[in-house]
Amino acid sequence: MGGANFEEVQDEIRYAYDNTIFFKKHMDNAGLNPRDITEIGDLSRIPPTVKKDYRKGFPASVIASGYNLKSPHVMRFQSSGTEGDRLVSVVLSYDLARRQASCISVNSKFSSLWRPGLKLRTCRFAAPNCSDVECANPNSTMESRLLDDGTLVLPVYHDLLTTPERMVNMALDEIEEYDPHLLFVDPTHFAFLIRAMKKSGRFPHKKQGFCIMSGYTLCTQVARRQIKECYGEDVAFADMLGMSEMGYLGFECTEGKQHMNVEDYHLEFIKNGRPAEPGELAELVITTLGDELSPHIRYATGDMFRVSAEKCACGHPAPVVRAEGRVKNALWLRDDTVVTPRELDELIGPAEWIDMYQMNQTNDDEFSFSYLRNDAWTPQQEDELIGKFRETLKTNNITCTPTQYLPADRGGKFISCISSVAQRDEKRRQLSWV
Amino acid sequence: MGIAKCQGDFPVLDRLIDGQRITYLDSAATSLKPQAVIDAMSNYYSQNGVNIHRGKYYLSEEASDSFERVRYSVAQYLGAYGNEVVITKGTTESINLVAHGLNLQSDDVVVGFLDSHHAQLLPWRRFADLKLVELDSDGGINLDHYHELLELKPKVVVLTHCSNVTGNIAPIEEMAIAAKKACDAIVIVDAAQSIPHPHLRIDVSKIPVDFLAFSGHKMLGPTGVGCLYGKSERLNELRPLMLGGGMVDWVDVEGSQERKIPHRFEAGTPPIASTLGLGAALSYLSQISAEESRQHTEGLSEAIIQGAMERDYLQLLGPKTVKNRCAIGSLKIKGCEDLSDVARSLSDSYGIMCRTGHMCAQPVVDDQMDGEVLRISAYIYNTTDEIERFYLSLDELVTFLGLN
Repeated sequence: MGGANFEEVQDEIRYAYDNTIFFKKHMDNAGLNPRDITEIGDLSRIPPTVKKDYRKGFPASVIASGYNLKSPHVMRFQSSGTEGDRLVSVVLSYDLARRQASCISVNSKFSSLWRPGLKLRTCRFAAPNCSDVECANPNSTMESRLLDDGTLVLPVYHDLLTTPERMVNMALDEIEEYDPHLLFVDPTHFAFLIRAMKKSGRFPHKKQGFCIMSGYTLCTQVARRQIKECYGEDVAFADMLGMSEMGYLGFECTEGKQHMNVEDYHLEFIKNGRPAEPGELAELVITTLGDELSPHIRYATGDMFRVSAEKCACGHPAPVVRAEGRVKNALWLRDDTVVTPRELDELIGPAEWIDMYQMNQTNDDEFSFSYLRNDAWTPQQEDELIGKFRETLKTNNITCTPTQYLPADRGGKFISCISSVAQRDEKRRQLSWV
Repeated sequence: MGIAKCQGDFPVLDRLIDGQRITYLDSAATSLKPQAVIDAMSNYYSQNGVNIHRGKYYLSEEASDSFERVRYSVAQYLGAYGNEVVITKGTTESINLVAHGLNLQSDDVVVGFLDSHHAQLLPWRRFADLKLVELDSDGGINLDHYHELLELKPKVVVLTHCSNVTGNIAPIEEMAIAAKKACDAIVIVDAAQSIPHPHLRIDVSKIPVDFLAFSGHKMLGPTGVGCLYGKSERLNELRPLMLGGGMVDWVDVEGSQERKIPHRFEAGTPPIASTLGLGAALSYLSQISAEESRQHTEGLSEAIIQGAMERDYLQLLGPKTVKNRCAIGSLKIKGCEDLSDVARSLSDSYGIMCRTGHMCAQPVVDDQMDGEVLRISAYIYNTTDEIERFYLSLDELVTFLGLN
């Protein structure tokens, strides 16, 4: 998605080549020089970069000359990565803020966060590995979990559903005490907190005057339903698209559509090595713009998207996409077609009888669906859902099991759709460079 | 995969000893290991081999992820939460951990069962006043006696789901409910012999069980690893048996802060490769349906009971019904005090591997059989033909050994 900012792309390539050891080698190995990239079509000559390049190169080869980890405004993020594909990355605080502002500008309900002079108070409730503070330690204090930027990281166990009542109450007490302008949450984590709150007879600390932003993992419709039901329409809620490598990539507008940030990135949606047509399933490949600390050139994300050709009713010009989930979480059918985590979630919908779910493709043509059910469950609803699964996944080999426990991965993230088949090289390569 | 075709998954069954194939009938002692389990362990040693929960480097995190995934799989298999599963060396350590950690007094009553394994008897006898439920006239559990003992208001009731000697399956749901109703006793289940069978899977979210113990090696997994399930509130009250690295958050010169459950019970380096093997075993077993497991077990049990009942020179310990039992048969050869020669000849002449002795359950074996027994125990890789061959071989042997 580019052309208009191609000169900025050329600048970024030149800067990365001149200032990072990794990208210079990357270009040299491909027999390329920044001077070879003279028009937008030349971009495809640069082999995509991938996560392991940055993991391997951190910090010496991927941080630009003149910077180090102690340089002013350098923020460090570590991602456990889903299924252990970890990464440490850095971003300049003002770049992060700019990307955040560009993204959030698509949704007027969040404009209160940018009031002049506001010292933003944020509470974060997400997997503990998303920050360096020890929020999974039951003995940690509020002070020990307060970050320099005013973010209070709320306590939670790595394995979400094992978080004890004492820590749930601690998190709820701290939300009341800190009174955040913004709750930045993993939607599945936050839905858990809401259920625990209701179970203990507690109520939301307030139902207006603050915003809730979801991120980190796919926002399932059952999680969204629980959050919206609890906090009502007066609390702004939107889903953010982001990556720990570079921060905000996109944001949900008031019409419920995802808009991508093309101010701070050059975006490519690639299918079979070519630019995808609208509606086609494609991998997002990102080039940062103006990133002087750790520029990423043609960074293959392993995230799947479909680009929409239609203009959004909200009127914002930023391109609209549908995030389909991670390549490594796609469900592969016998006919070698794919059902994405988002498509699976569409099948399930906001299902009032489900609190949380996980679909697991354990092998070729073998699927296991486990879910936490609630009092609204009926056997008919479950039968109907199984019927939809059979039709969409084109198999009867699907087990459906209610449970009281669904494990998070060791890093603390809970992924609602996982697939061992999608991890195979021959499958992954059909969808991604990662 | 199905039970009928699974023999090919067990490489040891391809082995020839003195030109003979093996008939393995000692699965109550330990099961054979499928290739998937061997591969999981071998892969850890060839591709990783490092310690878990100790480092930030890639291999350590990879090993830690794999290790913890097994814990989660076990939890899901049991209907428990991930922090309610402690990785131990096996059933014996698990039960000792609980017996040691409950702060029992010597006059606290613990109700156990005569047909239990020594691992389920001795720890309780050390820490409390152990009372044993007797067997009824058929060799099954005397439930009337159990209810009588519950009137003593025991602090703990230790149930054996499946006896390793009789193969009898105890009605543990009914017994656990009775223990809770009578005196809210802490209920502990020894599931070592039952958990290998998918149709005997216990869902701890549906039965009032506080602790449950089992070993990996009886369920196709490796030796040296097992699990203790404990309800989180119970585990939080339990005193760790072992102290050391890995079970503390903080140590200074004056004291220490223990980690949260389950890690506070896992001092020292755990059996990493074996745990990964246990995970592979669980995956393997998950491919067998409960119904297939039940039918196969009942077929083997019928062959064991029928073979024993048809022979006057044999006495079978325990109930003679196919329902609610595992394929275990403990046999007495009338007039034969020392079964060593029989077991040795079955092995060397016929390739049939089975066990003699008191089966680590001497009270019940002495009480019911007045001496040692010959035990056959069959599992998924066995067939009824093998049971029949065992009896035919025994017929031949007892004649030539002058026992008939």
